[in-house]
Amino acid sequence: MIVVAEPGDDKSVRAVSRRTRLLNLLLFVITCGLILEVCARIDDWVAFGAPLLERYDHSRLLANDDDGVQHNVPGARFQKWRINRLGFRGPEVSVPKPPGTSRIICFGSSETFGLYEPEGRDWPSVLGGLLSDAPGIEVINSSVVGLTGSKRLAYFDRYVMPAEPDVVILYVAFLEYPKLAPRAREERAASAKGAGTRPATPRPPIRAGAIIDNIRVLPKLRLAIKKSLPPKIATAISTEVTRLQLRRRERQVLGDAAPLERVNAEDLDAFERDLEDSVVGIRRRGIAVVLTTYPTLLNGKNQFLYEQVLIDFRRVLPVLSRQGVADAAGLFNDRIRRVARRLDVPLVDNDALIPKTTEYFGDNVHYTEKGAELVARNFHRFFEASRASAEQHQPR
Amino acid sequence: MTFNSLPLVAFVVLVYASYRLLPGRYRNTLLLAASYAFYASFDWRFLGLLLLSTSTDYYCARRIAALDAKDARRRFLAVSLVVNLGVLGVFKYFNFFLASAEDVLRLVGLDPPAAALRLVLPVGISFYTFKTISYTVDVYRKRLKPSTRFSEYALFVAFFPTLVAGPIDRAGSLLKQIQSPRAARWTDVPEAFALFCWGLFKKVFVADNLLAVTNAVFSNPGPHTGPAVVAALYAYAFQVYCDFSGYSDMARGIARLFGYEVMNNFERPLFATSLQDLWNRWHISLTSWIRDYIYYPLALTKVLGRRLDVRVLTIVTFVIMGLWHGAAWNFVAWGAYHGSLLSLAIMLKPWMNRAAGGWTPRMSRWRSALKPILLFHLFALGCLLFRAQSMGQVVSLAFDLTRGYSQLAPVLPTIARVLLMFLPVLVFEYLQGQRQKDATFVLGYPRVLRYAMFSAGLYLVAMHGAKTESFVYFQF
Repeated sequence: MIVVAEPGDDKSVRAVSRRTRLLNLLLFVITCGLILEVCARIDDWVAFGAPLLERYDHSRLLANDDDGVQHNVPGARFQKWRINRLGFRGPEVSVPKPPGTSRIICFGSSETFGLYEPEGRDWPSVLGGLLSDAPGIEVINSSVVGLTGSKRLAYFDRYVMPAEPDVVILYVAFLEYPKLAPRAREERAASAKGAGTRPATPRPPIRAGAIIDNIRVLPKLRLAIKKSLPPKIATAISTEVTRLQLRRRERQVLGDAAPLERVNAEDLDAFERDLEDSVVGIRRRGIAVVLTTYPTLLNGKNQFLYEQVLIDFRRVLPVLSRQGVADAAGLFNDRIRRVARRLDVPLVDNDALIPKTTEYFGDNVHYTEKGAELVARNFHRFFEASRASAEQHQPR
Repeated sequence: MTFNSLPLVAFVVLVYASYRLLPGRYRNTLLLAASYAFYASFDWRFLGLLLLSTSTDYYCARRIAALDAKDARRRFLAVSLVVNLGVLGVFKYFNFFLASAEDVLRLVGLDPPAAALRLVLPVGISFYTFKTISYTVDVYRKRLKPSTRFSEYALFVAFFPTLVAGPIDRAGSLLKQIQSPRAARWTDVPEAFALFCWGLFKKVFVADNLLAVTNAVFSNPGPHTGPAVVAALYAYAFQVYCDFSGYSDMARGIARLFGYEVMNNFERPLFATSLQDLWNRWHISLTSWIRDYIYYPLALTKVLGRRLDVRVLTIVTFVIMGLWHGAAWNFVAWGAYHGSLLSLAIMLKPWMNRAAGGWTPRMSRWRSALKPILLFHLFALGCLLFRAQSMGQVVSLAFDLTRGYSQLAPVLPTIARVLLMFLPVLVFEYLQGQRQKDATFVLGYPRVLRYAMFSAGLYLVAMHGAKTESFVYFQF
């Protein structure tokens, strides 16, 4: 409604002034939003050499081959993460391997790739530093975030083999394995059918959502606000937000089905089979394998101490209940130990060696700088012991 | 609850919303309750001291005004001074004087037993004590009528924007505003916002980021190179200015939100043209307080039939000012240093003026340009005394300052960073000087430019601001 102010007409003057105020507010919001976004982009450009106009998020680091094998993009860079020309995190690696060099490849997913640690403090880098006194040993971080068990060997052949590894530390995550029980899966599908809905297919991204994802200042502001709030309030808000997100995920994934109190035996078997295939496959290529258990912060004893971590982790694994999540690592780690025994593979039991506190874990599965250092030291001890034993058994 | 925290913002928003909703007659009560709550958020136990100081001066001032006999009036003034200075003396200076006395006794070969009170310095005690003293003295001098309502006077003392680190506003200004009816106007909001944001920027982005450079030298045992000490001194000079003037601007901004005009504590001191000018622009509420309640009375006092020499008087008042900042010998030395500089400037002024008479316009232009730089370096050198934790550290850093200039290159990036960090403040204050106003001069700019400046500042504060819990002047 356009109101024309006439002298002495108080109501219309008030309406105009209200409209002016509203327009000012709009101008304020638009200008602030634009300038904040420009600042965020300039900031990224100065700090990380990020492009000013393109999309800038962690997806820059990853790509899929035609057959769906996920790998790091050679030469990619996102914030502190840099990928070398061979597609590994860390400094450049010479190919072919210089004579007299032994290469230890750390082969895992995000926990090995490094998330919370500063640059050069992920555990493979720390291990490299610790082994630097041994001549000719190189440690390479060949991990890919989200690499699945079924594609592990394909990735290995295509991207890791060119680096000519001598030893592979196989750090296997279990997050993709826990699934709903077959009956629950059937019920979920039936209920979806009964409701007249189509089976879940990947939805095209909503345009507004895509625009919001491209706004770089929002996550920065969120983090800044979180940092400025008193820790108790920040944690409480964060926990509640995560709880809401978990409920949404549960609705999406579980529907009416209840989350599992315990991982299905068939999923554990599938995990064990995949792990065994990987070990055998890598060995068949003439490369030694070292296994490790998969340490997690949460277990049956401390699950109530780290409420937020538990809720956050359940977002990743909504098929498991609180108890299911707390027990999962133990069950999968038992299978890792079993494979190690059966195939006679050396095992570094990191799950038993790392204290279950937030001093070492940034969340349920990723390390803090201190945690990464401890993992590296555990492997270092193992290699030192192996070297000592090899020297002892060498014919004189 | 410090000014650079989100809880403070939430607190101010809550109090302001209630302030606007309440009828005028309840607003002072609301502000008083908010002020006490704010003070209690630091340590509720010190509320007792605040109340003691408030009620003593309220009572003494009323008695002084009611009496005609000079002796009786003086008696009540003395009661007020004894209570206020006594509390200040016990909490702030007792251990210092005790330790100094022990040192003297040890010097003459005695072995006194070690004794000290385990006291925590109440936040803002030096500020509100000076406020209450000035009130009683003004009533005694018949320059001010005493407040007849305790709540009004209590609000004057405890007014939360200025309670913990000033400005030390006088009753003639602040109390009068409290006593007169005020409307909270929407038009005050942009000015309040501008002042608060500018103060926050200076504190969080500039001062707190410079802290790391300062601490690299002052919190680490030496030896350091001369250039490293120079970088730390530059950083500290900028840091202490941005920290304190930032606080003062935030305080003024919050006060303005409630319709109060609090005095400007800093008038662009880095653009001072002489030492006298510098002290007329730096911590104005304290320097003017010292001038009115210490310097002038001492200047009028005759010792052995003669008035005190102005140069001696200057040094004495500066030493007192140094002691106000803290109970330590380095603050005494800081006061003596600035007092001596000022005395020297007073002595040399006629000679300088005569010499300047023969200068060409070009030379005069150079002189004008170089003066602020020279003044800044003299001020920064004084920061060595101000920031050091002991006289031992002063001596060792002064020694460090004289050597190691062959290692200038590694420190140059740090010095450049310090100067770059301060550059926005310098540009802003230059523009401010052109308009002859405080930080609210930006409100004269076009809206889009204003909003853009605000957003860029907000970004720097939120993303690149370092967070420290406290302000430098909270310790005083």
